Amino acid sequence: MYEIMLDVNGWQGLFDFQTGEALSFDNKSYIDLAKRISNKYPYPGDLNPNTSAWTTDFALEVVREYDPKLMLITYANGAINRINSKLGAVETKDLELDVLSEAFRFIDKTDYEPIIISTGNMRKIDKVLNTDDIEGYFNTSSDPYVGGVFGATDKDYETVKNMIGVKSYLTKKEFLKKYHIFDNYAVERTPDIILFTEDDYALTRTGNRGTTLEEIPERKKTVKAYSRLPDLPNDIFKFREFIDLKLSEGKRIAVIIVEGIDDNCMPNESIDVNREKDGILYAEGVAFYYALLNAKEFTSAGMPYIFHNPFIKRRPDARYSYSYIKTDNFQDPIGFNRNFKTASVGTRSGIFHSACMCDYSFECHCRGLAESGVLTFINSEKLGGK
Amino acid sequence: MKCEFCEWRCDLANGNGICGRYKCEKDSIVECEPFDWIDFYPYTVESMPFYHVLPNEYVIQTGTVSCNARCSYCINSHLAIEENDARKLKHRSAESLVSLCKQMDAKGVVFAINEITCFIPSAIEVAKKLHAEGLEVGCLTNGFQTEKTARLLAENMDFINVSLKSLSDEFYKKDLGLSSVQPVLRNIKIFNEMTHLEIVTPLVHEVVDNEIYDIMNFIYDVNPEIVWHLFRLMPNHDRADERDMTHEEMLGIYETARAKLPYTYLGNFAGSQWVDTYCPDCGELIIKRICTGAWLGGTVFNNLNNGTCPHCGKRIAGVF
Repeated sequence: MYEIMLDVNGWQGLFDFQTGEALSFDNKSYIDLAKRISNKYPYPGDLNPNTSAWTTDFALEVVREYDPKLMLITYANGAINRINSKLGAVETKDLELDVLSEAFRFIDKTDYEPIIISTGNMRKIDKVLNTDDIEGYFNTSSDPYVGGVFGATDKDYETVKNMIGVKSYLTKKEFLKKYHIFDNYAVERTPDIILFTEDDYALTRTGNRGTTLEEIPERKKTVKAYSRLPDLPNDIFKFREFIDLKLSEGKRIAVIIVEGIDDNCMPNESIDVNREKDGILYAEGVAFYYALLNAKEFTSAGMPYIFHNPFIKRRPDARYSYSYIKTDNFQDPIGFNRNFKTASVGTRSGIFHSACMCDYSFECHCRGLAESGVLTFINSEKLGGK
Repeated sequence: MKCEFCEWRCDLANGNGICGRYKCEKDSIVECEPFDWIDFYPYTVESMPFYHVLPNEYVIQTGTVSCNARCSYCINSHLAIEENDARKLKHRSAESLVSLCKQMDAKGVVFAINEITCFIPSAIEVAKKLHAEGLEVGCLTNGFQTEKTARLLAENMDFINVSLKSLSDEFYKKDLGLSSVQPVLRNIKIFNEMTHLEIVTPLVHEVVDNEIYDIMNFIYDVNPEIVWHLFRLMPNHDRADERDMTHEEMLGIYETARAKLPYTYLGNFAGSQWVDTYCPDCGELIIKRICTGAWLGGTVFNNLNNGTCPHCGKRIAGVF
C-alpha cells in the first residue's frame, strides 16, 4: 500500500494513495517524519514571497531527518508568479534571484552533487488565438501553444484550418497514429482536433476561473542546466540515465528544477539542453517532468498534454483522487522502490510527487492557486508498512 | 432611471452603476453585454458547493465579470473586482448553452463565477431554456438583491447558495462594501420558501470570534434543515497576509453547529472528513463525499432512496 498524507492548518489526515479512503495513523512510525516536518513548515502559498525559502527549509529538514541518497527539489513558484502576477522587470529579476539563491542555499548546506535545470525562458503574451468560432468544446492544455477541440463539428475542422495563428493541426486519428497512442485511457482523453499555434501566438488558459496569463514559457528548443559533474547530457531524455549512472557510482545526487528562471539568470557554466522530440516541445508541466526525470515521452503520462476531456465524468471510484494527474500508466518513476533512500520536496503540485514517487515525496497541495496545505506521498511498503 | 436588480438601486442616467453591467436603453434597463460569459467549465455540483443537489452530477459552471460587492477576501477578485483589459468574454446564446449541456451530458448550469445579480436577464433567459429541456439551474449569490429580483431568482433557480458572511451591517459595510445585511436576511427567507437553499459562511476571524453562533441561530430560526457550509477561508485579496484559521477553531464550530443544524459541513480544503451527510433522525451515513482540492470534490457513494434515508425513510432536504 502507498499512502497520501495531507496537512491542512495543522490538521493531518492519512489516505490510501489509490482509493483516497481515509486511513488510521496507528502503528505507523514511518509516518512520524512526514507528520513532524509538514507540521513544522506550513505552506505559505503559491504567490507568497517566502515560498522559495519554504522549499529550501523543508528540503534541508528532510535531509537532516531522512538523509536520502537521491534528493529531488522543484522551485515552481518562479513560473507560477510570472504566470499569475503582473511583474515589472525588476520584480521579475528579484524573483529569479530569490529562487536561485535558495537553490544554492540548499546546495551550500548539503553534500549533494547538484544538477540544476531550468524550464526555460518566459515571455509576455503578444497574440492570443481567437477560438470564438469553434462550435465544439475548446479546451486548453498545460502547454499554452497547444489546444484541442472536443465534440468537434464538421465546421470546426474548416475553422481550425483557416484560423489565424495556427501553425498546424492534427485530427485525433492522425495524432494517435503519429504518436503511437493505443492506451484507451489516453485515447478517450485525446481531443477530436489538436492544434499547435504559431510561436508568437498563445492560448489563454486556465479555462475554469477566467484567469488570464501574464507570462508563458517561451517556445524555445533548449533550456539551461548546471552541474559540477562532467558530461552533463545535452538532451532532457538522457538525464535519467545520467542520474542513475552517477547514483550507481556512489554519488549523492540532488536534482533541482527551477521554473520561471530565464537563461541569462542561470549560472555562467550552464549548458544548453534540448527539450524537443518528434515535434513536441517538452516545455511545461507533466511532459517536462516526465521527460527529465523518467525519460518518458508525453504519451506515457496517459493524458496527452493533460487535456481534461469534459465529456468524461468523475467516477465515484476514481483512483488517485488527491494526485491530480496520476494514472495507472505511469511507469518507473525515478524515486520509486529504489534500493537506496529517495525523497522529494517541491511546489509543482500534483505533478511532482507523481513523477518522483520517492520514499517520501512532499509538495504543496494547490489547485488554481487555492492551497490546501502540504501533501506527502509515502511509499509505505518500502518504509515498513504493508 | 434607477436599476432595480440590486439594493444599490443605482441611477443609470449617467453611467452603468456600481457593477458596471447595466445601462438605460429606450426607457428600460438592459445588460451592457448580454449572453457574454467569462468561460464554461464542467464541474461536479459538489464543487460549487451544492451538497444536497444531484450528487456526483456534472453541471456547466459559468458567469461573467464584476460584482456589486467589494469583499476584502474575494477569491475571484481578478474577475469580480480588478480591472483587467486582457480578459475577454465569450458570447453564447441561451440556446447554445443548453446545447452545450446536452452535448456534455451535464445536468444543467450553475452561475457561480461572479455575482448573478450582474447579469439577471441573461441568467433568467438561460434558466427558462434549460427548464424547457428538462435541465436544472442554480446559482451562487451574495443575496444583496431587491425583493423583486430575489423572487424572480427563486422562481427560476432550482437551487441557490447564498453567502451569508455576517449578521452585522458594520461588517457588510467595512469588509464587503455593501450597505447592509438586512436585504440578504430577507432574501434568505424568500429563497427558503420558494426553492432549495444552501448557505455558505466563510470563516473569517472577526465573524468566528463575535457572531458565528448568532448566524447559526438565524439559520435555525429560518429552517433547521438548511444546508450550511462552513467554508475554510484562504485569505485572499486585501486579506492575503492574514493568518489561516486553525483546524481546532474550525472543527469546534462545526461540531457545535452540527448538533443544531444537521446538514452542516466543513470544507474548502483537501481531505476534509466533515463533508458527509448523515440522516438527522437515525444517524445513518447516507452520502459519502470526497474533497480533493480546495473546492473540488465529488460523491463517493449515495445511498439515498428517492430522496429519503434508506434506513428510516426520512426525506432529506434537497434536489435529488
